Amino acid sequence: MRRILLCEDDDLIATMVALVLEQEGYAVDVVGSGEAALASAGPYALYLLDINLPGQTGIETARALRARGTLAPILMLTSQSDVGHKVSALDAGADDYLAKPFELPELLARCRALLRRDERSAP
Amino acid sequence: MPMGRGALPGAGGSTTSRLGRGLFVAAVVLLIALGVWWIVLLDRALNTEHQLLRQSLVDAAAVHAARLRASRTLPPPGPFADDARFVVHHGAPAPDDVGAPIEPPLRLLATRATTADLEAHYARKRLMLAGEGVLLCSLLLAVVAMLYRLFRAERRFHEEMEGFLSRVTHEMKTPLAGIKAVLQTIESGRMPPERLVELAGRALRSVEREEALVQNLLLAQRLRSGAALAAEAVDLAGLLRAQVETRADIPAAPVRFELTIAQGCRSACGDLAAIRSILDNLLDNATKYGGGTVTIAARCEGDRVVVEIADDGIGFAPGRAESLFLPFVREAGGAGTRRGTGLGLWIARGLARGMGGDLHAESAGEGQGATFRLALPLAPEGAIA
Repeated sequence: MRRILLCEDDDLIATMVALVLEQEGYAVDVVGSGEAALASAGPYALYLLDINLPGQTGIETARALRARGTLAPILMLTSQSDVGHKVSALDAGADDYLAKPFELPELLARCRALLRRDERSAP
Repeated sequence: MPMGRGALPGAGGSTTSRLGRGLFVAAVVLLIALGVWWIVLLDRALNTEHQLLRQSLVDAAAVHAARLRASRTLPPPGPFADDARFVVHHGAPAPDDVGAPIEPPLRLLATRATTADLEAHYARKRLMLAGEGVLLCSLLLAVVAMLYRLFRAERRFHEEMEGFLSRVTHEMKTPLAGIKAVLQTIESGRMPPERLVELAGRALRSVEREEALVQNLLLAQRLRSGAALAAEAVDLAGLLRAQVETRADIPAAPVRFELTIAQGCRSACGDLAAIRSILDNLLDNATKYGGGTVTIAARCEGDRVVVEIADDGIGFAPGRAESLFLPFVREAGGAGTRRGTGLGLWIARGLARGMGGDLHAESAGEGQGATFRLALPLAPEGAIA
């Protein structure tokens, strides 16, 4: 079973995203801060990071994950949909970006696409 | 936010900002050029006037000299009887003498007193011009300073509004995302029946969060328009208990509230919706920035009821207390980000003052907790049924 780390400080969003991902057959670990995400024991097949987090932001967390050699795809979730935020997130190492409020089927499709891409690029 | 506005070249209001800066610089350059041009023009006019006055003396001397030559009556050296401004001089004139030759070696020259009057007049005019120049420069400087302040205030307001709109949008989108996810899951038939009630309840709390945000925005609008607030007896104790109980119901609530209400200090005089909003904002604030425990104490002070909300959270530098009540200001909470529109405390103080009360904050320093003190007019005991 593939493991996904969901880093989201809004309890309801975290619960619902985890619920649908688990229904899709993934194992989901949920944390509420960037620090907790970095402290989580991996490896994970996919990281879902909210940008606006208490303490370390999602972008800083993505940058830290890449800096320590994490190759798994990162999908950013945020309500900030302006180009500046998207560019910063992608530059920090994110592979994709989904603006809130999102459609759950779209979130699932993006997760599947990122995992497929990751499989194809694996040696 | 780690990525500030303007991180992306050409994004946001940078074009407007550049245009505004360009207009400001152009206005300053134009004002300075106008000032310099005005001073140079006046100086030239003054010099011309000075030359004309000297020339009028020369002309007057030449007319007298011509008349004397024509009458063939040469006056003796000394004061010129026909015109007190002149003297009949025998010999070569000094370089700065003003006059005209009668017949060598006799010359008709302006007296020292006449030239001294002329120079004194010129000196007075120059002094006046210098004074006007200084005044003009001061006025120009004042105008430039005022323009700069207006320009800076406009730019700051623009940036604050950008940040505020971004935060409001974020604040509205986040609960919406949760509500939408719950409804989509129900609609798609994927909601586990055993979790339906729990998740519907949490979605409902998100709706209430949206309501509170909209209420805050409406109150901000009411404050700006100066609308009057009601002055009726409000059950403050009941409101405080309800606020604390609502927060205690939230699963995994990060903060524990301890409430004490002194005897006889149960009701305040004011607007029910406004007092509810103030308490909501203060307790939300304590939840966001407070530590583990928040103590709420209501007591009477003269004709006022004072509610102290003290937390053991991140606190703030004592000098920053007043800035917390400025619109659009939020505590950064260290390196991280916090939710909120930055209007809560500004609204809370505005409402408190609108009801004849006040709201202050104090902290011993960062990391040492904060105390918010809300004072409201005390309603007579027994005013609440």
